[in-house]
Amino acid sequence: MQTPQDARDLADLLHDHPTIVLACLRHHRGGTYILAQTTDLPSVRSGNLPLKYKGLEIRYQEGPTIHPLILRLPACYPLSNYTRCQDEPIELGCQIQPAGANWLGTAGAPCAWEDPQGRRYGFLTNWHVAYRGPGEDVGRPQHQPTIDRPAIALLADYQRPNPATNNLCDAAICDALIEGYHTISTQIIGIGPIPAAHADAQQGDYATKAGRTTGLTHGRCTATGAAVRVDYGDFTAVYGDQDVYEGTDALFSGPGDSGSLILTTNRNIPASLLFAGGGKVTIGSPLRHVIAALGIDFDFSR
Amino acid sequence: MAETNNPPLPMIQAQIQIMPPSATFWECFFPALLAAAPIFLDALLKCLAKDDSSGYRPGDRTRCQ
Repeated sequence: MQTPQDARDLADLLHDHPTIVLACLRHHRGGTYILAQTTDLPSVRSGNLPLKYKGLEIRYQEGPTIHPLILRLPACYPLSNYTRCQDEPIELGCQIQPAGANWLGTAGAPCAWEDPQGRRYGFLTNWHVAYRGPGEDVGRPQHQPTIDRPAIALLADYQRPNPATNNLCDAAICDALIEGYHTISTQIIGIGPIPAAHADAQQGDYATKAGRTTGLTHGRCTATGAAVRVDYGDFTAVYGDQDVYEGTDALFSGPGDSGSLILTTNRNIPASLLFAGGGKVTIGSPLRHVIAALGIDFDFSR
Repeated sequence: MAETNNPPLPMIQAQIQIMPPSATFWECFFPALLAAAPIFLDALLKCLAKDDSSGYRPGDRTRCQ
């Protein structure tokens, strides 16, 4: 079992060594070691990367740069249930485009929260999907599937990454109350309604997600408590205590799937918020961090 | 200045009489209820249409045509 201190230590390792993009603990009969992915494997041979950290051996693999999973425009993409325009109520896992943005992402999951005006209903996505861009802020309209159609929600709150610290999630919530009615359904395309409860993913859990690019995909959680470096283009941010997923038969995610909700299929329960990936790996933030940051829940009966 | 002779003010004698009831309670209740109905319905409709976010209300608008 990984402790919060382990997660902080792994994130510190990434802060100290900019070519390490992912690190997690691995346990075997002989003990525990750190499995690290680096974009610069020759640095290991030349002695520029450490072979031990906090008393643990580090084993290196070559790994790709990890990016946030938005789809930059212009782009060609097939029309699907996830990318087409929907009449209300709009099922989630669908494509969205923020006003003024030249990218697409996913409105991942229905959620609810309290604010001074009362209980609000909307959807969960990422900061880098719904917010990012100079001069933008709370209230930014979110369109489905593109800005050619009316807005379905307004950005309500977000948790943005800080390049100088250890981050826990990249998340945003958008209020779907438009002209007195909620534009969204409480269902996810291909998955259906989600339970009100959530749980931490465990290594080895089977998982599924619905996103605008790869649709409904299946995979497994290959690590929890991982530290990840995400390259946002104009800055990089280090995240601690993240979940790592890989597809079982195809890629688990692709550019445009940022914002998707990942559910573990063993227990069919929400577990992580997808926000980044590279090569075969997909990174999700445990929902407990998103809930702590934004105060959301998945209870639509109230 | 010429002096005028104002006539004396008349004495007003008010008589309060308690009139015997000319209608039963139910004969008054229903006309009063009918008179209040528009006010009640107006308040009810305003309350129902109030945008107070007190529940999840899925819309059914067409937005793709």
